[in-house]
Amino acid sequence: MSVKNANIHMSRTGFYDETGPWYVLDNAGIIMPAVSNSVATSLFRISADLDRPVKLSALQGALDHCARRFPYFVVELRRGFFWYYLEPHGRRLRVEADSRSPSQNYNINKKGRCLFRVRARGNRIACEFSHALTDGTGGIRFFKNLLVEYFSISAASQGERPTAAQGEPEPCDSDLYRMDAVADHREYEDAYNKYFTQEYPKPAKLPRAFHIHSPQLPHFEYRITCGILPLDQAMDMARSLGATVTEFLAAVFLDALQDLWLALPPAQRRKRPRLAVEIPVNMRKFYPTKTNRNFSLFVLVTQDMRLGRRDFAEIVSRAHLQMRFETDVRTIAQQISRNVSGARKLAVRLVPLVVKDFFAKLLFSALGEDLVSGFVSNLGAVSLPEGVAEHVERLDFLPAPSPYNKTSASVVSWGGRLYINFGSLAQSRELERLFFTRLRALGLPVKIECNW
Amino acid sequence: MALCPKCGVELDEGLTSCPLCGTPLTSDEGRPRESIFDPEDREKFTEDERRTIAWEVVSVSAGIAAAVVCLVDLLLERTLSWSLYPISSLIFLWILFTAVLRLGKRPLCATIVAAVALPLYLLVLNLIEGSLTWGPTLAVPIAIIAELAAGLVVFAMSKVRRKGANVIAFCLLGVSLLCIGIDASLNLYFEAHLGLRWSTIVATALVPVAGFLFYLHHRVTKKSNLRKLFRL
Repeated sequence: MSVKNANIHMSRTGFYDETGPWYVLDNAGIIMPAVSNSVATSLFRISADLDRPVKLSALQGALDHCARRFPYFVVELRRGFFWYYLEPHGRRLRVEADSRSPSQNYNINKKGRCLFRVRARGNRIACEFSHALTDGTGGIRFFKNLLVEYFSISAASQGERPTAAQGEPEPCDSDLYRMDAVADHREYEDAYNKYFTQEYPKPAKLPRAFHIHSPQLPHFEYRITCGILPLDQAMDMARSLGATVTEFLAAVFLDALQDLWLALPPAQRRKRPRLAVEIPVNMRKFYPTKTNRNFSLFVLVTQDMRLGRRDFAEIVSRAHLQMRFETDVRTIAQQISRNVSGARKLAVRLVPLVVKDFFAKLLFSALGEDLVSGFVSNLGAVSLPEGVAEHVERLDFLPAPSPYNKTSASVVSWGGRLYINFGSLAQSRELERLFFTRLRALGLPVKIECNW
Repeated sequence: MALCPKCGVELDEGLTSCPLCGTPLTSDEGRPRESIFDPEDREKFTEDERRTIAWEVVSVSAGIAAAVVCLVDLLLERTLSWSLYPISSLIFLWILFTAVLRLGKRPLCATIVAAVALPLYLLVLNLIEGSLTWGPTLAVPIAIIAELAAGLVVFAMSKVRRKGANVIAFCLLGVSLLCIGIDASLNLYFEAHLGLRWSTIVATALVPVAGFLFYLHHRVTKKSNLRKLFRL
């Protein structure tokens, strides 16, 4: 089979037989079930705070409509003999009550668990998605449609004029779908497999990265520290340093890690002198796919502490250059090649899932979490249609909890403000403190909030 | 619209509790409970009455059949000879029916009565021949093992919620156990030692198959098919 034909065959994730539809996981999602549990849930979260209390019946109605429009999201995990697969969630999805610790106590491996959930409390609507299902871009698309549908139903029930988003979606916003349309199969294609070009040599092996030394929080406690700052000032600051906002924030993260590393006793420093911040990159910018499944890769911004302390301007400059250097089409193709070709090998495919699970944990540790000290994921600026935007006071994007890289950050821009959410399973708040202190020292006004 | 005091979300009118957190909003105590009475129920027999009638019919029929057989034997042979076989068989069947129809509400008692009846019946058949030979050393052990295997299979099946390939697996394990019991009993009877031969081969073949069926059953849900399960 030619590479092109193999790509078409392998990128298909949706199937239909006499028992109904079923799906396979995308190339990035296949590892997640093996490394997920009720604490490391793999659930990232997007939430919106409205200007009034959430109307539960309208939200439930919006969820019902979105569940029909996004059938490939309303799925449960199943174990096959060789691979995991997804089956439709048999029951009606219900809006759940939100809790103090987000993204916790939800094991996607349990039978009957949908791979995402919608939660509400007070003025807040939140969606928590498993990374086995989708990435931030897929998640925000679903969330935007949910919000638009919620306001449409809400307005209709009050006899108000329907919002602009009701009926025909705005042509300028491709994230909004018609609720009465059938899902296009390209919305759930495995874009990694689709855009696999050829087998490249494997990327060079990287040394293990420094990790924060801190005991873990009690089970089911997940601390969220949110820093809110004006977007324009943050952009000006980043621009003045010759970087994008993401690169600038990654540099601040790296700077905080540098301080943490330097505070260690010398014996501990020698063990892991490499700092590495992972920055997810949305591959949809490089490949013309409509997929709402995972399609991100990671760029590492690193610093070798054996070379000594670096000042902040130097860190920003290096972060910018490393980002530019790594976001090259061939380097990206090399990463896709590494991820895809492994899963395509017959010898790998023939291994029973029990054995795969064991090695998936090792691989996730060796090729993933062990190589990074934390990540900064920037969802970017979110746009919402007229009639919805004026009712959304804030948006938050929270990282999935990880007991290994205990503290990471997710960023989203909304309403002229930048929301930087640190999710942490570590008792220590030192990284967050150093991060936001650095922002304050740079003259950026930061307002801090915390759930614990 | 009402606000949930705990979640703070807006709720539709008429709800008695918050669908999210379950916090009660209003009390519905004092509302009269509706009851439905079907007058035709009076005309129907109860389950107990139906069982009693069935037991009486079986008892009278078995009694008549035994009496007829007995009389024919006495008339023809002037003694009770061959009729002892149908009479003991009728008594055995009557015990089984009694266990089901009279002790049906106490399944453990019914099972014990039925389980004891079979070895006794076999011993009686052996005694009719004149002396106890194959009964206690061959027929009774095999019968007890068969009952034990069947009992274990039924017990296991009663404990599983979803029945499918696991039923076949339980049966295969039961057959393995039965074969081992028969093999051991035959060896004990004919060669006076407890060696296992062919039954180990049967068990070696059946147990892995049962294991695979358990796996299939565990993984394949009602809506699943093998294509999903074994997708490469």
